[in-house]
Parts: sequence; C-alpha cells; structure tokens
Amino acid sequence: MSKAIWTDGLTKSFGAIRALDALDLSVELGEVHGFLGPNGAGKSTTLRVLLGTVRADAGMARVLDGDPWRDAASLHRRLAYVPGDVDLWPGLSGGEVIDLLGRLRGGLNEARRAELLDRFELDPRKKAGTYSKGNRQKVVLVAALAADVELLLLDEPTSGLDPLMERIFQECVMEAASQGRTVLLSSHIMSEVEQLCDSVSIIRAGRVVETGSLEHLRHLTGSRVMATVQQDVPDSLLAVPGVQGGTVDGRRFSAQVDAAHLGEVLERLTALGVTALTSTPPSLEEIFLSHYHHEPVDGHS
Amino acid sequence: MGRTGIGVLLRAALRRDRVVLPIVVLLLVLETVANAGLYSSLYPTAADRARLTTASASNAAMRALYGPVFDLSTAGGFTAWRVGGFVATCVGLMAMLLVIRHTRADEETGRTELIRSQPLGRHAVLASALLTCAVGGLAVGVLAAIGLIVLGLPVGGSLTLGAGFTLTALVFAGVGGVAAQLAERARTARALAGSVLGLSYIARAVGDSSTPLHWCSWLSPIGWAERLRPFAGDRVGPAALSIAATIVLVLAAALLESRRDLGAGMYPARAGRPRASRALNGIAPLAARLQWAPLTWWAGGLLITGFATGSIASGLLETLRDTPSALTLLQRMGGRGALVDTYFAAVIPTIAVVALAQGVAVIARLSTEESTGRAELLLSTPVNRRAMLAAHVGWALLGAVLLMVALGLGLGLGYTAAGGPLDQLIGLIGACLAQVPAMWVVIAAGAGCLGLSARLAPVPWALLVGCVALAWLGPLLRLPGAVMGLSPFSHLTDLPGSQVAWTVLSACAALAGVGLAAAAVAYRRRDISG
Ligand SMILES: Nc1ncnc2c1ncn2[C@@H]1O[C@H](COP(=O)(O)OP(=O)(O)OP(=O)(O)O)[C@@H](O)[C@H]1O
Ligand SMILES: [Mg+2]
Repeated sequence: MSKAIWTDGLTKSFGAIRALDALDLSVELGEVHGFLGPNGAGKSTTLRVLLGTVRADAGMARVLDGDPWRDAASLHRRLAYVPGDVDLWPGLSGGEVIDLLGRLRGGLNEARRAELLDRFELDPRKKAGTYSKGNRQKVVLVAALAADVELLLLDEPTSGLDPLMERIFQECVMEAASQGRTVLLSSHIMSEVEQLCDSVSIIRAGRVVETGSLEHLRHLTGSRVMATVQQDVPDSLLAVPGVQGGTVDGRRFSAQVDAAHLGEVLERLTALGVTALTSTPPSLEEIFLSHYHHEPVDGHS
Repeated sequence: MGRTGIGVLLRAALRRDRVVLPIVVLLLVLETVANAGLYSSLYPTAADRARLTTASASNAAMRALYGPVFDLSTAGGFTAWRVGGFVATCVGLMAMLLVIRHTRADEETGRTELIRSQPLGRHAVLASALLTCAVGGLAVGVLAAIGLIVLGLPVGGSLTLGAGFTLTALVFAGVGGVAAQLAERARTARALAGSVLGLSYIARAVGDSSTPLHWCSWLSPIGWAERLRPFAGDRVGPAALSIAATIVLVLAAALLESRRDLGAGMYPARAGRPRASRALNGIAPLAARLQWAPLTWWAGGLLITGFATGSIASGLLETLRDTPSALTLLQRMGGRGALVDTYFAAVIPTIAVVALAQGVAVIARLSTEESTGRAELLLSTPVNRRAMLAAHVGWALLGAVLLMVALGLGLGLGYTAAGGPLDQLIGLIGACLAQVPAMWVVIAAGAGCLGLSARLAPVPWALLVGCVALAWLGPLLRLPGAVMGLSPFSHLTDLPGSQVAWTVLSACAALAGVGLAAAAVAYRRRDISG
C-alpha cells in the first residue's frame, strides 16, 4: 500500500452543476492532509465519493487500496468520518450515539472514549435533541477519535466548536498523527490547517489547483518583500517577472515575490541603496487568497 | 404582540403547506358535502328517516361514536350528526399538528434561529403559525358551508356547521401553541396536544352516550361544536366557549413564549443514559428503537377504533335493515353476504387504508434519516445499504400485520361487548389480515420511490392519499372500475362473507416482493447525501 487516498480524474455532476471536474487528489499514508477550497468547491462531495455514499460519474478513486464504492463496507471498518453538521437522533443521548457508532464500526477504545468525553467536557447523558451545535459536533468527533481506525475523513469537523475546544481537537489530531493514522481534513480555518497539516490540497470549482507541502506552497507563492531605499523606486521594478501585488510609494517598495526571482529583485533594490528590508513568508491565508480572489466561485456549471 | 414580519412569515408558512393543506381541507369538505348529498338517496321516505332517528337515538354506542342525535329528519341534521364531530376532530388535529410543525419542530431543527435573527417581533413565529391554522380552519368552515348551501341546505345551518369546524380549529391551534411552548421536543408537544384532543373526544363520547354523565360533553371543544346544533336550532351560545378558550390558550402560549429561551421548553427533556444498552449494537436495533414507539400508538389507536366500530354494528344494522337505499350503498362497499358480514367487509378496508399511514410514515422516517445526514453517518460505518433499508421497511411490513390483528381484535371484542357472538373474532381478524398484502403493495411502491431518489419522498404520501380517497369516496361517487382498480385494495374480495381470494392475495404479495427487491437494488446504486 503506497497511498492512503488517491484519485484520478474524479468527476461528478449533480444535474447541471459540475461538483467535481477531473479531480486528482493524493494523500500519503500517515500524513495529515489539509483540504481547502471556497464554498461549493467540491470538498464535501469529494469526501462523499471517498466514503462511497456518492458515486463518481467518471475517474478512479482508491481509499486504503480499496474501491470506495464497491468495497464500502469493508473499508469502513478502517476509517471514521466526521461531517460538518449532522442532526443526531433527538431521542438518543450523546453517549448512546457514541456507543452505537463505535459498535457499528466494530468496537471502540473504551479508555479513549472516557478520556475524550472528559477532554471535550461533553455530558453523554443529554439527549441529542437538546445539544447545542458545538456539542453535537463533539459527539461525532468523540465517536470518530475513539475508534481504532487507520484513516480519519474530517469535513469541517470543528464548525461550532469554541476556541478552547478547537485547541483540544488539534491536540487530538496531532496524537492521531503520531499514532500513524492518516487524516484528511477539510477546513476553512487556516490556522488549524497551518498548525496540523503536513501537506495541503487547494481545490476550486471541482479541481485541485495546488497541492504539496506547506513549504512547497509557500515557495510557490513567494514572500512579501518590503524595502525602503535611498532613491525613488522606479516603476519598472513592478514589471519584473515573479513580482505580484506590488506597490511603490516614493522610496518604499512592497510586493509578493516568487522565490525564483527573489535574487533579481534584491539585486535591483541593493543598487538603489537599501536602508530597511523585511521578507516574510506568506501565511496560508495569503496562499489561499492568491488562488481565489480573482473570481468568486460557486454556481459554476 | 410584535407584528413585524408576521405577514412575511405567514406567506412563507402557507407556501410551505401549499400541497398538503389544500388536500386535507378538500378531503374534509368533500366528506361533509358527500354525506349531505347522499342523505336523500339513502333515506328517501319519512318512514326511513323516523326509523333512523329512533334507532340512533336509542343506541348509546352510536351516540358515542357520532354525537348527540338532534334531528335526523333533514339532510343537514343528518350531516351534522354523521360527520360533524368527526370533521371537527380532524380539523382540530390538523390545526394542532400545523402549529407544532411551524413552531417547535422548526425550533428543534434550528430553522427558527435563522428566522429570529431577522428583525422580527418576539411572537412573530407563533403568531404566523396560529394564523396559518386560522386560514386552514376558515377554509374548511367556509368551503363546507358553501358546499352545503349549493346543495340547497338551509344557509343558517350550513354556516353554523362550518363555524363549528373553524372554531374547533382555532381552539386546537391554541392547544398546539401551548404544547409547543411547554415541551422541548416536537414529538413530546404532539403527544401532549394529541392527548388533549383524545381526551376531548372521549369526554364528548362519554357525555353523548350517557345521560347522567351528560355534562362531560361540555368539557370538550368538540362537544361545544356539536352543541351549536347545526340544522337543529342553530345556537350561538357554545361558540362563546370556543372563542374564550382560544383567547385564553393563545395568551397563555404567548406568555409562556416570553418567559422561556429559544430552544428551551418549560419542561426540559429528561436526561438519557450515558451508555447505550447492550442491545443497541446495530442498524436493526436502531431502527427498532426509532420505529417501535409510533407503532404501539398506532396499534392502540386501531384497537380502540376497531372496538368502537364493532360495538355500533348491531345498532347501525338495526337502522339499516329496512332502509333499502342505505343497504345498497353498504353492499356496494361490502358485498352481499349476511348483513353483519357486509358491514364489516365495508368498514375494514376503509380503516385499513388509514392504517397504511403507519407504513408510509416508516418510510418517511428513513427519508428523514437521509435528509438530516444521519443515513450518511451510518453508512460511513460498515453498515450496508440493504441492511439499512430492510431494518426500516421491515417495520412497515410487520406493522401492517400487527395493526390488522389489532383492528380485527378490536372489531371482534367491540361486537361481542355490544351483544354479538364471540365466534366472529377469528373470522374478523382473518378478514383484517386479508388486507395486508394490499398494504404491502403500497409500502413496496413507497420503498421503491425511496430507493430511486430522495426527491421522491412525497410520492408515498400521495399514494396513501390516493388509496384513502378511492376507498372512502369511490363507492359514494360510483367511480368507474378502471379508476377504482388503481388501488390494490379494490381487488380484494369482501371479507368476511365471501371466499378468500388466495390468488389475488398471493399476487399482491408477489408484487410487493418484486417492488421491494427493486427498491433494494435501486437504493444500492444511488447517491446518499445529507
Ligand atoms: N446532493 C447534491 N445535489 C445537488 N447539488 C449538489 C449536491 N451536493 C453538492 N452539490 C453542489 O456541488 C457543488 C460542490 O458542493 P460541496 O458541498 O462539495 O462543496 P464544499 O466544497 O464542501 O463547500 P463548503 O465549503 O460550502 O462546504 C456545489 O455547487 C453544490 O451546490
Ligand atoms: Mg462542505
């Protein structure tokens, strides 16, 4: 087994809406993989295809070396899924839901169950109908994290959690990773992804537009360079290849610069007599926005 | 009371109910008007009418079921007696379910939270829900009155009967409104309001059938509607009771709403168990847990309905024996066997089609599992789809059997309690069980819809309404055989009283089997998402 998840040309349409458009995703065994994209990009649909609840129109998908559609039941012994929002059975208590899901998966780790209930400060006696959104989310999280599985598929798992609980969730994912589990984490919370993920795939309109380690993505996006020099900065500096989103304000210069062209830009600045220089690597948010903010996405067809 | 946004919410609520509400209103109006229209052909002569009056007035069981006998010598008086209490009860049920659906049920799913974040008055949601009921209740009252007037019945009586329907809707809208404030969950609210409705029905049944306990009827909103005496004096007095009760209930609901938090109830839900019982270890036990309680309610309801229907058999037949026209209608529904067999053969299918709602509700519950995302969560575990489908649909198939046994038992016991022979019991249970294969056909069709697509969820309900309409109105309207044949129930023989048509029953069972197999195949192949 080489990869935990691998898809090739995955395509899925809902009527006229093309949710997945030849999506290629690859998640290594044992890594925590961030899955980012704007609303409606197809993240949840991808996870559903990987779960085998939705069938792709075209393309290949492999999960833990199995076919998610054909081998659904046997694969599901080895993975756990957390949706972003679920209405639990109003008449069942949280504890009952956790036990039920655990038993359906073939048993859960009792010690871990107790520990997680404690850490997430979840009262298992309350009927699911009376839980708040965040507490409902905790029920499903505890059930998934207490299962002895190889793969966790998490779709915006922290929606509704308060910052303290978000923190606990991050610890739990790090523990899962240190035990060698693979995690695919779809999220809109950049700090969460930055904190947890070894690598990231950014998807947009049903396609993966960027994938790789965070280092790699930072490298691609380039650093923000800010400099003050002794003479007025010529506008020609903004036209250097690899310089994006630049501004020139008299003797001040600021721009996003690709790693490949950083040397050239620095040379030119040095020639102008640098008095102050900072270079900051891009945050994930900046990387993300650099991919999105050209056109709003949704309702594409 | 905050008025902001009520209009917008009311329009949205009516839009949401634009299919079901008109259908229910129409069925109730048709039920009323059809009975009035039939009167002169059922009881053409003064002698027929006199016999009907004496027999009904002297039979306690019939008064318990239909209400007090004021005047059965006119079509209006007969209609008010025969369907007045029944339609009023149905309108009350409709209003109560509607209010809870638009208040507590929405609050439970979080829909209200979204709405409340808009600049709206505090009571806007409650007020618009109550107004929705008022619109529905008014529609039943006005349309029924118009229908009766068009048939040539006196205007005063028609309006009084219609007003009784509308007023009952208002009172039970208030009951539903209060229940929705008290209970934290829609199901509890429905049970609470339903109990009030059930007690109201029982109170008037006791009061109407027993002279010393006559006052009991005055405890019941349904009793108030009957005591408007439509077509038999047209009193206004009791209307004051309904109006006063409505005002008190609406104010109480508003007051309770001001005093609680959104999402909370006056009586918080009880805590559950911290661990699942050993038995809750698979999809079948989960389905059992979700489906069992409603089934027991249904079984109890059918037992009682059967008992009531069985106990009036002798009395009713007394009134019919010498009324050839009424007999003809009964024979159109129940065949030409011994009179008592004809009666049971006529009523059993009309009740069985209603009991079919249990099976349709079972399928609807599985649809809800899907729309809420719970099905997806379950399918993310090693549970397979066929097991999930079977675990739920099995309760519909089994439910049909249990409910028909309950109905047969109720009919037999009721008939015996009213002086009939006990040896009918087995025959009646058998006659009820003979309905089961036809019920299975509809259940299988419903399961097939669910198997094909989540979007077909309303179709099983439409099938149910179709079967009910054909069974209830078909014989009255003398619909052609081709139309009647659409319902599987029309192909069964009249039982008790004739031969069991084993071929028809096996054909129905086989058809249901094929439908279920197809449903399982289709369900395995389609997308399931929240
Ligand atoms: N069952 C469905 N029927 C019809 N359209 C659907 C269905 N599920 C998803 N879509 C459409 O497919 C597209 C992708 O949706 P998806 O839920 O996968 O996006 P997402 O990336 O998870 O978005 P979000 O960040 O908002 O959760 C959207 O345009 C959505 O409207
Ligand atoms: Mg999503």
